[in-house]
Amino acid sequence: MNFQTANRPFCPGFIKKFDRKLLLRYPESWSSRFPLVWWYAGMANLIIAAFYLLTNLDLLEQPSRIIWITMLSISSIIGGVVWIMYLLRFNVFKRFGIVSPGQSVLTFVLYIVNIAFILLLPFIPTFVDQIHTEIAYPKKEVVEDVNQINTYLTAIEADRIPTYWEEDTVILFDAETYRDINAADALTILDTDVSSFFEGQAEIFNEAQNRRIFYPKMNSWYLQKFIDRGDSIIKISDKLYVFIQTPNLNFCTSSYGAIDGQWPSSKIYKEAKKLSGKSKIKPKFHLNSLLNKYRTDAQNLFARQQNENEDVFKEDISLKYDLVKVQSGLNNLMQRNGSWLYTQQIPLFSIYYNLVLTIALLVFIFRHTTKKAFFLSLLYAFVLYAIAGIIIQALLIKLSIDNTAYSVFFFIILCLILLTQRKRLYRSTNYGIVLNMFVVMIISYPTLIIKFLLDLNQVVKMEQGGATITQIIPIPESFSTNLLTAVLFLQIPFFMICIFLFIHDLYKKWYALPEA
Amino acid sequence: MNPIVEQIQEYLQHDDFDLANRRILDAVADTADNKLIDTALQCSAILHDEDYEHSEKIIRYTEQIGVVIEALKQRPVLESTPKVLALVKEIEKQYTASSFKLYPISFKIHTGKIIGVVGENGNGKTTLLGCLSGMLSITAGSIIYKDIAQSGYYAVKHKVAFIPQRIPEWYGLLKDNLNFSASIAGLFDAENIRNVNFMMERLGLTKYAHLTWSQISSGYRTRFEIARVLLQKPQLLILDEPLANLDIKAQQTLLMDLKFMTKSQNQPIGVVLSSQQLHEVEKVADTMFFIKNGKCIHQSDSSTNSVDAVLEIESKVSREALEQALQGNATIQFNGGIFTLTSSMLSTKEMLMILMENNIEINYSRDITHSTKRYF
Repeated sequence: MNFQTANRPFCPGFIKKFDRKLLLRYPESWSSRFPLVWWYAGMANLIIAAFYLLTNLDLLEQPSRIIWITMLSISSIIGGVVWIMYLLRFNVFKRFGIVSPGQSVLTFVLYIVNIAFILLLPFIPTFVDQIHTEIAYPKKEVVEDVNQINTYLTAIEADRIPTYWEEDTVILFDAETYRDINAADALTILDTDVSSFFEGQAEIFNEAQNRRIFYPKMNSWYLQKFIDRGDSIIKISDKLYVFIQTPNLNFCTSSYGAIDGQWPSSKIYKEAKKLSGKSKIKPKFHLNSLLNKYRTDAQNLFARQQNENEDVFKEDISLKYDLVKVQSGLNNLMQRNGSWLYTQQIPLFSIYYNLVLTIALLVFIFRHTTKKAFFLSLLYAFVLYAIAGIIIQALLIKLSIDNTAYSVFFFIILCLILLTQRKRLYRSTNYGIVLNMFVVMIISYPTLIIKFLLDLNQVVKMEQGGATITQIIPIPESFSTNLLTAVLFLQIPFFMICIFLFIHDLYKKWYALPEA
Repeated sequence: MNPIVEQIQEYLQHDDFDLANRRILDAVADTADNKLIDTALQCSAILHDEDYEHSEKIIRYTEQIGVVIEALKQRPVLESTPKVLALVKEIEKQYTASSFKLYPISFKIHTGKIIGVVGENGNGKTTLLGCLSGMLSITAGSIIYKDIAQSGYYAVKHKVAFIPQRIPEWYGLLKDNLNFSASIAGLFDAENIRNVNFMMERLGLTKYAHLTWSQISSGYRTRFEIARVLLQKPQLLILDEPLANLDIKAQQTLLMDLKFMTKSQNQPIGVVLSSQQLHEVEKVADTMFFIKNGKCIHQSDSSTNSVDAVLEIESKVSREALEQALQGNATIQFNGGIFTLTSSMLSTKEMLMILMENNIEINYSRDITHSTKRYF
């Protein structure tokens, strides 16, 4: 096909041809300019990824991502602005062309993908670091290495490590009431319930009693954290736990922690004991090789600070093996790995996802509404949430109504306004604003409902001592996080269904109305 | 023989190739024969090819266009009867933020007909056009768009094209914009390309296709805008002051093009246009409205007769000399070098003869008895 197109540098012929085909067949999709965005943003992402990779080959060095991220964020914003400028040139909907709800849904998806491509740029260094580190230093391998280092150090330096802790660090907790109990009560419990368990260990038991052990206050959540740590606890009964508090034998650590398999000190001690009768030559060889694997001259402030508060024996061992440099290497590795998709600590993906979704939503609304209604909607949203919201919230707290309930209430109000105004004979800006806000709310509705239900489930009314009391039963954090994450990802399909069923139609009817 | 073919042959005989070519394109468009349209487009491209000398172009064009004319001769003459597109009943418009009001007005809009709306600035022309196009709501009355899908205003706006006086800027290549417009109207792939090429050839825009908005004059911008809306296959075309930015030749060409396209046998459309160029519009309009202070004070078709004869003249003589010559048989108005002579006793021809007999030198004269100019 012989055609002339605009001069687009570095754009291959096949993209131009594809773009042209879209123009002649799928104008709604073409107007999103997705072939060009995918090509240019894709190329930019690849080039940046390659360049970052080449300048960050040594993964043990401290990553310099801040500069990269700042520069790339600016580039990404410029890219986004350029895309929006191109996007605004052609609008099937505002030209009253033939457009179906299905096409509208497809275009929304294309907006999301386009923005995802454009906004990926500042996330590239993190992403590259994540993948590169995962390939070069798999998380599992690092954790195993750290365990090995700690075990070898404990075995080799056994003479330096104090062992008095084996006899005298039994702490008792009353697991039923989660409060500290006085020494007399504890002794009673020990006499009645624990004696059989401690049979043959009378000396330890007596020592514990004699020392009048301190009983810290412990709530259920804190207890659960202790229990999760596993093997430094002995469960005597549902009411009684024995926590064995060992000295910290984690000479080196990974922030991945016990969740990813890093051993607690008790386990390190046990493993080290297995090596105690054997020759120390082989462990020393392995230890040196492991330490060299992670040792770096690159500074890591956190590594040094971490070691400043350690026990004397740890300080000595650290100096002997120059563990600050090893920890620096490990910290740098961990800084590179674990930021992307690492939901436990840094919800980077969540930031990215929400940013993409918000911009896509704003673009979608802008493409379906008047400029006046769009900008007034932003202003109204700000006023409503930032000022009126605060006042209403204050009232709601007094009335013991939850934040989510307020959102549900507000949404119902919007629905009612939409229903009462649907037979208007002219295009009202106020109606447009309500419609825009309704659309914004509807995308967050699945999350709101789930949060609302989770909140409801947390509150349980109980009979105690003849009176009804309200108690909050914690839903496991992992469950609610996973559920909310799942719902978060359901937002897009849910919104797509809404566009198909009624949002497209609502905008179509409103936008085409004559002006007053 | 097909009267259009006769017309084309006459144009060709008088070496008016450009006009002939435009009529040929209109005629082939009416046939809806893609092969014939492609051949006509190829011939048109020859005529506009700047690589050839004029004489060489003409020789090549006349050689090849013969085939098209022969094909057109074989085609039966299609008679299209005007259909009512819209029934406008007593519509009123009162703005909330202004005291201006458009008073009740009723009329019908037909396919193949042009309605001209004239009047001084700020008297309600644009308001009337806005109401007709669905851009502005009406306070009272009704507009029933016949033959246009009744599924709400979106469908109305899809089929009723409105070109405002200030055309919004286009972005990107002009041709891309035209392809886009054809595409959103449901013309895809080869059909899209053919229609765009046809429209550009028909309106003489081909050589500007790969330019941008800032690279063309305001006159061409109007033509491109017309091409764009026509590609969306409207049933009713509403233009607000389309002649404002055009020179006199371009005005005439545009109005002629509109007239031809309006009367298309295959796809006739209705046109409503407002303008200050009274005489130019009156030449092509089937009905004229004169609007003053929001009221339609004159609504007529070309056959409407006026009681008084009105003659417009330009002369260097004094008012007294004219009065003396006409001896009170006509009233005289003077407006910036132009005299308007109105008489219930004399015809315009008689007034002119009296002036000639009295040796009054006349530089220019026009019979505006049937023109809305008499209301200004």
